[in-house]
Amino acid sequence: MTVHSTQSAVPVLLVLGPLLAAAAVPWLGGRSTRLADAWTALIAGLALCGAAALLRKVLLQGWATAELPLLLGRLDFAVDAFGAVFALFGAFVWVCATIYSFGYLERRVSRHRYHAASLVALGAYLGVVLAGSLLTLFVFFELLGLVAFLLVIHTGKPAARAAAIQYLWMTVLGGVALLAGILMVYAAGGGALGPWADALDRQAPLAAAALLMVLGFGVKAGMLPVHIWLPNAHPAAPSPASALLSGVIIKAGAYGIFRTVFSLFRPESGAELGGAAWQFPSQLGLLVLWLGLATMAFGVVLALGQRNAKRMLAYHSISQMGFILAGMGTGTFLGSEGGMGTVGGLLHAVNHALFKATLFLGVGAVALRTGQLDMYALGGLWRRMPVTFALMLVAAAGITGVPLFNGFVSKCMIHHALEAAYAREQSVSLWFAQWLYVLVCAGTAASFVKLIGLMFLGKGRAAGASRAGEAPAGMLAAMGLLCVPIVVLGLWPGLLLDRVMAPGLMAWAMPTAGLLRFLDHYFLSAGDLGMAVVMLALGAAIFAVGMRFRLFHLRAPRWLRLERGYAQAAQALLQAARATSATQQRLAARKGLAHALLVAVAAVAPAQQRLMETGSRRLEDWRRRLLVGLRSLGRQRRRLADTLFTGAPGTGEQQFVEDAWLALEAERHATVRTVVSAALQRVRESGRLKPREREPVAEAVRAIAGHLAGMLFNARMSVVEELTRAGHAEVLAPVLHGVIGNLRATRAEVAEAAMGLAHRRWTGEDIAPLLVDVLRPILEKERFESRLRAAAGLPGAAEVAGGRPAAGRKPARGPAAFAAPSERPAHVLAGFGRWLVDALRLGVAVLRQPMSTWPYTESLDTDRTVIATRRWIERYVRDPGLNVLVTYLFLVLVVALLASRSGST
Amino acid sequence: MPTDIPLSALALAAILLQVLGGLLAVPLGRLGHAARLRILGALCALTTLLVVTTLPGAAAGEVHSLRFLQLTQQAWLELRVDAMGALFAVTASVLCLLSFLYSVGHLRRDPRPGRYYAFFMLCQGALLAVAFAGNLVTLFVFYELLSILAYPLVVHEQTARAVRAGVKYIVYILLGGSLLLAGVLLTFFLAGDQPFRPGGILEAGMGRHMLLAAFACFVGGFGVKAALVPLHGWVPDVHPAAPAPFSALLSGVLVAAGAFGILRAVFEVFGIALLADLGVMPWLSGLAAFSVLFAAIVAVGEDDLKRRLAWSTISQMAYVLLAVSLLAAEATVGALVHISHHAFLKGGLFFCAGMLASEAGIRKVGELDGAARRMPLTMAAFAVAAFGMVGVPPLSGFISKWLLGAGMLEAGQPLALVVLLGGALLAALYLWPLVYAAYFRPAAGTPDSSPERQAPLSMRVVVVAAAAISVLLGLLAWLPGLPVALARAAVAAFFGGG
Repeated sequence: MTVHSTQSAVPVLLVLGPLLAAAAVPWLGGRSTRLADAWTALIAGLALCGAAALLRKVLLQGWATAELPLLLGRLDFAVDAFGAVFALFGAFVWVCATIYSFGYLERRVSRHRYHAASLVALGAYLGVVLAGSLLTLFVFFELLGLVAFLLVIHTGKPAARAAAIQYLWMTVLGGVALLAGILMVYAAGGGALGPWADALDRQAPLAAAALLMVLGFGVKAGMLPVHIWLPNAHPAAPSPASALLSGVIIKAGAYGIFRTVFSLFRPESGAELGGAAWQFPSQLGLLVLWLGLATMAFGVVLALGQRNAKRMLAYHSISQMGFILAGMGTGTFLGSEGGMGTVGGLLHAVNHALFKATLFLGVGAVALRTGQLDMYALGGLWRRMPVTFALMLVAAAGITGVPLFNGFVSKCMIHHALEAAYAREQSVSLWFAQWLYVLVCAGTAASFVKLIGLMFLGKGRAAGASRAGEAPAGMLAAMGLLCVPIVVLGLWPGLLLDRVMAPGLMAWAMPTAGLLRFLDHYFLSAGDLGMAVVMLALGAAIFAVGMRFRLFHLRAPRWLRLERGYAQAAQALLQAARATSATQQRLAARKGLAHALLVAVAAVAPAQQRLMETGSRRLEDWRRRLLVGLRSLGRQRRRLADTLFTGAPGTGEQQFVEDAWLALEAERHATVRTVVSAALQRVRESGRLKPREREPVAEAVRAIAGHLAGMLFNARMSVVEELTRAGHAEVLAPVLHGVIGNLRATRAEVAEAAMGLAHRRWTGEDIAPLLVDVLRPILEKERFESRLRAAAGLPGAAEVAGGRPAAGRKPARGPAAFAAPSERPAHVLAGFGRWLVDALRLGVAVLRQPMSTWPYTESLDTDRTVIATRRWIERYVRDPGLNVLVTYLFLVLVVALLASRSGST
Repeated sequence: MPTDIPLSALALAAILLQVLGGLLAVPLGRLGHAARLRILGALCALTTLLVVTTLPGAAAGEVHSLRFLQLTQQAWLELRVDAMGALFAVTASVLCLLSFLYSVGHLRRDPRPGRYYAFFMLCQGALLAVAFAGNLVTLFVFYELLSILAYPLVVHEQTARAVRAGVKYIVYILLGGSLLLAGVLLTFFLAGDQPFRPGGILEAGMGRHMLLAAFACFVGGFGVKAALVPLHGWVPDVHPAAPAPFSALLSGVLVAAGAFGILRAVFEVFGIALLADLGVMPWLSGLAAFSVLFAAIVAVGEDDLKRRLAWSTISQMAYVLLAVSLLAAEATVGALVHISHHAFLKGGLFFCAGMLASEAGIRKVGELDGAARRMPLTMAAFAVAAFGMVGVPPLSGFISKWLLGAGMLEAGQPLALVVLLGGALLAALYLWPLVYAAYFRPAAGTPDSSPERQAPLSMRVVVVAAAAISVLLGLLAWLPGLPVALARAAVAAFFGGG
């Protein structure tokens, strides 16, 4: 498809303009009602001008596209001729309805809310018809659906509220179905409103997506099984809002179905009709066709049975939407030859917007003057309201398909398309479809004969009817404005078909020959005129028979009503929810996890209460004992943790391990520092490297040294722990520092090794495996264990390995001599302060510590306080299991206390 | 601020600021209540600022880690700033800031503000530490700390109801904590202390039964806080009992912390490949799907306003788990985004519910008739949040629902989509009637005055701000640095390697 497209800001302005302008309405309304009215009319008028300009631009330059950076990326707008036509006529009806509303809403209170909602709805509607992607379409479609709720509920009467609620839930259901369908399309890789050929291969998910989308749009369009909100909502809304709902807003649903069947699920241009590529679109078209036929038949039958004029018009909206769907469905069914049906459906959508809006406005004018909507109670109004009568007559002529009025053209086109479909398939069902169509047209004629006849002709039956006067000029002007295109499009359909629709079809690479042939040869031909006469005669006959035998008062039994089914389903859902909720609450109140624990605690609570009753002294005693117990518990806990961690049995041994740890840790830091400074010195002395290159070498040395020193530390520490476990702590304690002080030789070796490896690491080699090999000779040379044993006068390593009974050697420990108690600060606060300072220093050190990707972070900080504090914190947290257990017990205690208190209050 | 400071140091500074605030809250009372609020508020704002500064780096996919405390020779406390953590931390701290502001008004007549603010600040610190935890030990330590520090806030009002709810809370949370501890210990036993790593630290060779046990422990442990249905019992009782600003926090981020923990466990402890191999995810999906629908159905029949919102939280959080259980990239993006978007929506709803309760005395759904006349601003914000919760475009809820739905279909799970949309439908069923009643039902009595006018400015500002954030997060979802971009960065790491 070769589409010429240009960027344009007009679509964005058209959509955002009304949306933003709506915000100003309440503010302006607070100052002056006239100001708010003028503002609303101005915005609607500007939208109309913008839409006209957009249509002109599209016709001259091809598609107009725009983007808006919102939501997930952007909202796309892509306007072809069809979208622009919908925008133009939508805005036109909007302007007329707005002008009408000034006279109609005069006595209503929430006038500004109406105007604001109407502007938001206008922006949303334009967003729907100008959208370039499914996401954009969906966003504005949902917005439109929800804002229309405000239009329906406007009067606030019980009937309006019931209708609005029903409308809302149907919209929500439709929205959910639509979202599911659109998500499926997006998940399969589609989303742009254009041919999406590669997905036509995967039919199963595609069919589900298409069905869901048709259903979702169909709710708004009043399609058959989901139409139930429409006949309630349209009469409940004020008349200008009914005109908007029936004329424009439900067209958004039709437009959505049009885009689904026409733009989205279609093969690339050039695909052979009847080939595999068209198979799925054809079936989808057939489905839409039959849904449309069912809708139009159903709508017209029920319309004939209505007394309330607005309700009757609402049922006709359903029926006329059926025409539109039938046209689109036939068009899609016929594939690339289906231009006639598709354009017929679109044209009928435009026509229906014009005449149905006029009809609703006219009925509204009658209701305003007579206070009556019951057709059987009215009559003879043509004398009292001649202008309204004339305008209603024009609109009725349009909807019944009287030649020279607009409805005639589109109805004929859809009929021709049905004939073409029958000619191709020759199936009985399509033959039946054709005649059903004629019958429905006749039914439409009959019900408008009834409307006009009962309301305007004959004698006045109601008291109000005889005193009624002509509607206000503003309202008449609005209706007159709407009637102009009804006549113009009836006389010169080429204005739209030839100039707009044909280029629109060509942009989608569809042949337009059929359309032009219709304009040249069939428009106002004898055959079509004859068919129109048959329809009208049949309609008059139906009316006469129905009135004579009172057939229009027949009612379907209640149980047959679809609405009842929906209502029952909703009731059942609510009942189930309440029942579940109640059951859940009963269960939660009776049993539960917390409940079980409370039962257990309840056994403890009386004992505790008795204790409290026995007197304060005993309680005090008990408390002191508890405190002592807790303190000793803490001591025991810490001792247990230390024992588990070091394997050292007593406090003295633990103190020893602690000291060793600190000394070795300091040695580790010192090693790293020595190595790095030695390396730096050597680099500087050799002078081979430039200052810029020294840094990476030093970095590498530091990393390697850190790693080696860490491994050394671990090896030494394990030696110390091993010896402690064997019970040698006491003898080792005095000599430990001396031995560790003599380890300096090792530093030099580590330095050698690190410098040897530094170059290789610098070049990017992975040297981690080499480190173990480097370390082994160093450890062997150092012989830490032997040194310790020698210093303490213990036997050598070989003898220990021989397995000497440890039990006999247990030294008698003098507590004062060995377990060196740490000096306690004089005051708790002083101790706390010292601790705080230590912790702060540790924090500073940690933050200063350069980060390394090595498993052992090396620190240049040899400050003993810092190391000790780190050790202190570590010792506290290293036994998470025990701590959690203690916390656990503590919390259980708290729970028990709380429970006993809440039980007693 | 120089750019070469590692982001993790910023994170540590933010946490320490909150701890400082918590320690100072009570002593600062000597300077007078107003001065205390000013100082704590400044600290809170500064924390938020610090956390927000980690965003650009995290969104760019950088990972900074900082080991700041060695517990044992194997176990470290480690902070790490990555996209997922930053997303959660920013969400948490912005909501905390809102909640703090709201508290200023809400607690204006409270007898014990010092205790409240002390634990509030500490809780926020613990939340940030959970978000920035770099390994399982750190996550566990701060997660438990968070649970316990939240207790005084739950029972803050000290009514009989609050105490009862507190008992329930503690019992559930301790149960979850011990399960979690078991999981952490198992993991430690299997793999040692390793930092979180996209792709997981556990491997298939470690023994199927051990891995299954560990996974069950994690789901059970985090599931208690994430309110997965058999473990959800505390949620509907605790929310109405807690003070309104803390309910908002509880629903918005504390429950989400559980879901966040499960995300960490699934993607960075186990890894997608291992979990797909173990075949446990369908079970989690089933559980989550049941949670979504069951909680939503109960919410429809619930009469207490805050309880209804609490049930809604259970339902909404289960979306996250449902999406995670599919182990698909786009669904995970949706899950992460939903955590953040839901926080502001539900936070907003609880703020509104708090306004309704404290200023107009409305606590039951049935008392809402005509409330929009008396509380126009509150109900407008409530309506926005209610629409967002259902997923009406262009609000933030729509974005997350769209991502979740697209992800579910991409993973080939249309049933999950049915659950998602069913949940959304039920959400409309339990939230929209409230909006309808407030706007379109006539009030029972004649409203004599507008109680909203007398509400403190800070509360009104917060209510509006929460709604505005939800709108902006929806409209401008594509902006870099907002949840969608961050979630994509995080998920790219999870799914990029494996």
